[in-house]
Amino acid sequence: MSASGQERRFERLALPHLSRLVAFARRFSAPDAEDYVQEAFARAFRSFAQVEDEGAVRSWLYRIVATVASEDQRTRARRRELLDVSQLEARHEDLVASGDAGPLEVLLAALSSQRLREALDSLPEEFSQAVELHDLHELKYREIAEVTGAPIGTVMSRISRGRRLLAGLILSHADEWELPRSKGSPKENNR
Amino acid sequence: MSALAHDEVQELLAAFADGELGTGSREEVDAHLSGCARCRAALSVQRQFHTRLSRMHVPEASSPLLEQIRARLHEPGKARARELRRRATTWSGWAVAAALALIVGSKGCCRAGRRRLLRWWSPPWPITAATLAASCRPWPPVGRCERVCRRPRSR
Repeated sequence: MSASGQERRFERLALPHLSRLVAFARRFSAPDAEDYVQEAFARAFRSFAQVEDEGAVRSWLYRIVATVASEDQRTRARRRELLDVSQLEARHEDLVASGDAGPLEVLLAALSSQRLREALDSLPEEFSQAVELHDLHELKYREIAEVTGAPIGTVMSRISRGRRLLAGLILSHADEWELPRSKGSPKENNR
Repeated sequence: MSALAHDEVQELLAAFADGELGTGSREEVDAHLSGCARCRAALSVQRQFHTRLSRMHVPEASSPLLEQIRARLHEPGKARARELRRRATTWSGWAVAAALALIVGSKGCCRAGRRRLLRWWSPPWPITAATLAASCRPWPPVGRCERVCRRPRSR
């Protein structure tokens, strides 16, 4: 294929994912997100001639972005706020023990997108990344397994647990974030 | 009751909610859910988050970024062209050096030989009356080269 033909093919298959890739790269470092994506696209283009399965381009691009960002020392310096994961799981258990997840629905409806984003970002990396790739970026579980290099069973578990932790986090901070509580909502306790 | 343990179902609830489970596993989870209110509530949590998060806005990439990427896509082509030019320059340099060595060396060690070699190697070489005269001599030159090496020549 000619160089211009290769460029057109690349633009057709890769550039539509640009915005989502930038959003994904922001999770590693917001100020560097566009640099990561730019570098990832340059790398992708260099080996694009070898790409035969056009359906795999999306997960392949996500993986390159993740690789580029991981290589950057600045992302390694970034550390998530330490959370007591077991406490968050317990908050989720309190909720589901009643057999009614309605109170969470009330909290979620009142929660701003920015706050939800911050909550997602504060989860341990493997959980928040899996949840973000599926729920925000619409990747299939198989694609997430390709991006992260984890077995698909691990991806299933990470997404389940990531959402549980997110629920626990929101329930734990409902008062601090001034979210309305419905009747029967589990109260904050000091475990 | 399903063969799946409660903890196992917990790990599969996201995939169940997202339609990512195979038929067999799906039926097993379904069977467990019918008798477990706690897991049904946990499934509702999974669905609520998927719905809420999938509605979140993903900001558009800045337009300068798109232009920067397009510019970088052209870079490999330019770099390749530069590399080819550099190689061509190197090879032509070697070719000149090799030709000169040939001219100064063996068969080009007398004037007529050098002229023939030069004319053969580079047709656009200026043709003068002297070179034309030299070209009338037999090639390769026979007899003794009297100007440089003075060694006997043979065909």
